[in-house]
Amino acid sequence: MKSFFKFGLMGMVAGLLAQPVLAAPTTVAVNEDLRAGTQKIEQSQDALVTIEDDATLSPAERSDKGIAARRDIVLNALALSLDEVASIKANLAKLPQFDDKSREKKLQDKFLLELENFNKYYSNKSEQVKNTPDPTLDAIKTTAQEIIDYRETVYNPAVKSMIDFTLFFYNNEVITAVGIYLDKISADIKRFEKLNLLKPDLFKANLEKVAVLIKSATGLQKQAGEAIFGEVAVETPIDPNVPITESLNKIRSAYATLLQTLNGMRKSLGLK
Amino acid sequence: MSDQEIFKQLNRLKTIRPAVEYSGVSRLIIIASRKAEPFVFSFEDDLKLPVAELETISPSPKFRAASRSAILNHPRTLAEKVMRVFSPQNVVRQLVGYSLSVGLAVALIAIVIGGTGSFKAIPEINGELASDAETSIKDIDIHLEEASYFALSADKTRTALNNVTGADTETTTPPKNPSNPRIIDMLKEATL
Repeated sequence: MKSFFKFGLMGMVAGLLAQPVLAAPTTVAVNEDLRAGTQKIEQSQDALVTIEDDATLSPAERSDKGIAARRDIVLNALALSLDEVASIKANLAKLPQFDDKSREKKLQDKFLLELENFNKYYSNKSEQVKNTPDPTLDAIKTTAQEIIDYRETVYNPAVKSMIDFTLFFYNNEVITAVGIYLDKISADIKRFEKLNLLKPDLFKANLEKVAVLIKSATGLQKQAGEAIFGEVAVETPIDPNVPITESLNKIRSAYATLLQTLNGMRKSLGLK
Repeated sequence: MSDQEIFKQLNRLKTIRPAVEYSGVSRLIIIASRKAEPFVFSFEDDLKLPVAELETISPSPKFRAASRSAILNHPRTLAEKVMRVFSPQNVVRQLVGYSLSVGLAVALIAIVIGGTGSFKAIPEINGELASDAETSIKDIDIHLEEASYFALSADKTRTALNNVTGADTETTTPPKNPSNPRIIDMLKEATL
C-alpha cells in the first residue's frame, strides 16, 4: 500500500511536471523543390555533354540538339532560381515580428522588395525563352550570359545577405534555448548532489566547458550582428556568415557536451 | 455503543436458547399441526386478536429512560443550539479535523513543489532532455546545410550556364567558398 502510494505520487508528479521545458526551434529541411531543381540542372548539363560527344550525329543534328539542350539548361536554371526566391521568401516570412522602423524591419522589407524584383526578372526571362522554341545558338548563349551576369552581380550577393539575416535570427533562438537547457541540467545535477546520488562536482568540468562555449557563441553572434546591422561603413567589412556559422557550431558542441553529461548522469544514477 | 459492547452483545446472542416451556409448546404445536385440518383463515382468530394484542406492547423501562433523556437534552432554542455548536468539546473536535486536512494538503503541495526534485528529474534525464538535445543538434545541422546549400546552388547554376555559353570553365569565377570540397569536386568534374 505504501509503495503503491509512492509510485502513484511519482506518476502524478511526473505527469504534472512533464511539460516541455524547451521550445524546440523550428525545423526547416532543405526544400525538396530546390534539391530536385539542382538535380534537373545537372541532368540537362549531362545531356548536352552526351550530345557533343555523340560521334554518330551529323554536324547539323549535333548543332540542333545542342541548341535544344542549351535551352533546357537555361530553362532549368531559371526554374531553380524561381524556386530559390520562393524558398527565401518563405524563410523571411517565418522570422519574428519586428518593430516598425527598426533596423531589422527595414532590412526585412528591403529583402522582400528585392525578392519581388528577382521573381519578376526570372519570370520574364523564362517567358521569353519558352516563347522562343527554336532560338539561334548565339541568342541562347546571350540569354545564358545575361542570367550569369545578373546572378553574379545582383542576385547572389543579395541572397547571401538574406541567408545571413535569417541564420542570424535562428542563431539568436538557439543561443537562448541552449542557455535554458544548461540551467535545467545544472539544477538537476545539484538536486542529485544534495540527495547524495551524485558525487559532488563530477560534471563540473563539462558544465564549465558548455558555459564557455555559449559565451563565445554569444560573442561571435554579436560580431555578426554588427556586420549585418552596423550602419557605419567599416574599412574591412567582415562576412557575417563566418561568425554565425562558427557560433552555431559552438552551440552544437555545447549540446553535444550536455548530451554526454546526461549520459554520464544516467550511468552514475544507475539508470538505463 | 462502543465496538466492545457490540461484540459483547453479539457473543451473548450465541448463548440464546428457547425457554423450556416455549420449546415444549412448539413441539406440541408441530406434532398437532401434522394431524390438524388444513389452515383456514379466520379474521377473528388470525388477524383481529393478534392485532389487539399489539396494543398492549410497551417499551422497556431502559429504552423509555434513554429516549426521555435524549429528548430533554436536545437543544430547543437558538441560544442553546449556538451554545452547543461553540461548546469547548465541539470546537476542539472541529479544530482537530480542520487542521488535519489543511496539514495534509500543505504536505502534498510541499511534496509536489519542492521535495520531488529527484522524482521530476529522473524521467527528464532518462529521455526527454536527451531527445531535446538530439533534436536541437539535428536542427542546427539542417539550418547550416540549408545556408550552405545556396552557395552550392549558385556554383552549380553558374557552371551549367557557362556550359551554355561555351565559356571555358577555367575562366569562370572561382567559387566563393573554395574550402567546400563538394564544389571543388564538381568543378574538377566540369573541367574534365
